[in-house]
Amino acid sequence: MKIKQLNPAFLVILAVAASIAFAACDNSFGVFHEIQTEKAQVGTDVFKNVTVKALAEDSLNYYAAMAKVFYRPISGDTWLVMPVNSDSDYYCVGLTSNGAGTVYIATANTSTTALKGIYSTANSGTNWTKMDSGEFATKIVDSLFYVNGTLFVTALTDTEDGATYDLYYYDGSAFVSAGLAGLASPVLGLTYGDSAYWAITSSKLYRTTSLGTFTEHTASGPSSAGETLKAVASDSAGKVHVTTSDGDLYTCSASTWTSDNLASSVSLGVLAEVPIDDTASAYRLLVAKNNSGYGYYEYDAVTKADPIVGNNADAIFAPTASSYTTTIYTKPVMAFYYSTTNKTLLIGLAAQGTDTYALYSNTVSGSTWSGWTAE
Amino acid sequence: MKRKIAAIGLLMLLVALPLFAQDGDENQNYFGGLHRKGSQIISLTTGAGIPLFILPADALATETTPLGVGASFSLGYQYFVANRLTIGGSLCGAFNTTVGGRTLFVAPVAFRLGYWWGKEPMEYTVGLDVGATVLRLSGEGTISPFAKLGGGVFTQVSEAWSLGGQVFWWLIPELHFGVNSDLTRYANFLEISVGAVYHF
Repeated sequence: MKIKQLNPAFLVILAVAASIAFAACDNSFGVFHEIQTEKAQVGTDVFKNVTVKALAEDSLNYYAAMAKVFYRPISGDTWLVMPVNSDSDYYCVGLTSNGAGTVYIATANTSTTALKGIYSTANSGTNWTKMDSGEFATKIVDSLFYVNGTLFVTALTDTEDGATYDLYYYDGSAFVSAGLAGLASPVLGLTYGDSAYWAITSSKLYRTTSLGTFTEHTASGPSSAGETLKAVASDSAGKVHVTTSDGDLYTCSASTWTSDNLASSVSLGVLAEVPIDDTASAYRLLVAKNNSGYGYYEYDAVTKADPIVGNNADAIFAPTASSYTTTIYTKPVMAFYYSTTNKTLLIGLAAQGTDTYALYSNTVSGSTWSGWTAE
Repeated sequence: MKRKIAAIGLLMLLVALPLFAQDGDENQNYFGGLHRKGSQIISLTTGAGIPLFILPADALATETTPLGVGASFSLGYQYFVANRLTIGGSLCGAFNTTVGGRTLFVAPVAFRLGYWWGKEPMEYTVGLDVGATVLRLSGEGTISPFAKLGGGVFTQVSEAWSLGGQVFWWLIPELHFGVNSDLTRYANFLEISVGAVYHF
């Protein structure tokens, strides 16, 4: 067998093809730079392959809701099950806090889903107060929200024609209807902004200035545009933000709705406003996303510059790209929680099947973020 | 650092050993004709991919060894264009896990220049591969230049087959340009593998 002499033209073509191949690659992704800046993530085993669905804090502890509520001292690093009213055999159906030292937890029977109670504690679990008194005897409680000084409860009722959904609030002595009852879809989110309460289902936006009388807001905004709604939140300027399944972020300010498409064909999710430094000199919205990967976008709602993915070179909250790609990137974001007191950002994720963790924290000092670290 | 120095020493020793193994009594039939011009070789190897170091160091790095020892394999073809001298090519693959729990996948395609000699039943080779490699990490990646240099020792177990081992130094210059030029890195790995060579 003989090999023909290589034609110089062939070599030139080969060189050009190789050059094009190199040039066609993403020049901004440094494989070995990413690897160099990785750090081992060694968290608490209880957060492996699970979902953290809600986060809260009081003056002593952070709280994370999975099947049960776990807590750790703010100054410590050990997560333990939180007994609720001396009971550790429960399923957590709701967790929230008021930012002023009180934590609210709704617990259910682990086998029947029947509500055990909606409890509050103002001293980190030493004493508990049962807030409900039979209002949910025939219902299934599925989440708690604390908004504008008021505790809200979403609940569903199973009927022969399918489930219906209701929203309640605590009026100081009992849970009463907030004005949304018999809905065909669950209440996905609730916030207070632009001088009103706002609630969303997957297809409708509701508004009220007086609890007990929510009305569908169809004059403008995301539901009037036929959007599929994903989450709602308000920011420090009192603006209301709603995310949608096709990448839109709707914002309401002074009763006027505007929209930005953060990313086409990308389903957005929960969102939260977080200061970029420890003096809150400016803010960015963190917006959960679901496209080829998961994770979140950082978005400046003031400049409305294009959103950036969490591992972008200009990202604020991940000082190295690997801080994001080894922790958040492959997992849906379920909850953000920023502790103003401790300058710490917590993120709760759905981590089933990943053999990684569902809870990470990130602390800012000055304008430097520590990067995501497994809890 | 000791590991790197030991690896470099081991590589140099293994590459140099075959050179000393040449003796003046070697038959000039070129290993039974198997190293004669016109002969061909197919090789298959599998072994360990040992990460050595990445240059330049990164100021934000917190781990001294961000990559773990991984696995590598290769399939190669060589043609003797002259007695003992070959050209050919190789397809390789290697996996290494990172401290962050990810997997680095390296898949080089390279041209090879090789030199073979020996005295039955032992045969030796040194070679240089130059080509390009796909780098993949977390679903993203790039294509980079690639080179590896090293050698091997094989013992003939039949008229056509030899079994043995080889050691190669892999150099992966991951080049970035323009505003991203600070991402340029030079990664170095050591491949230690066992393999089979088929002569025909």
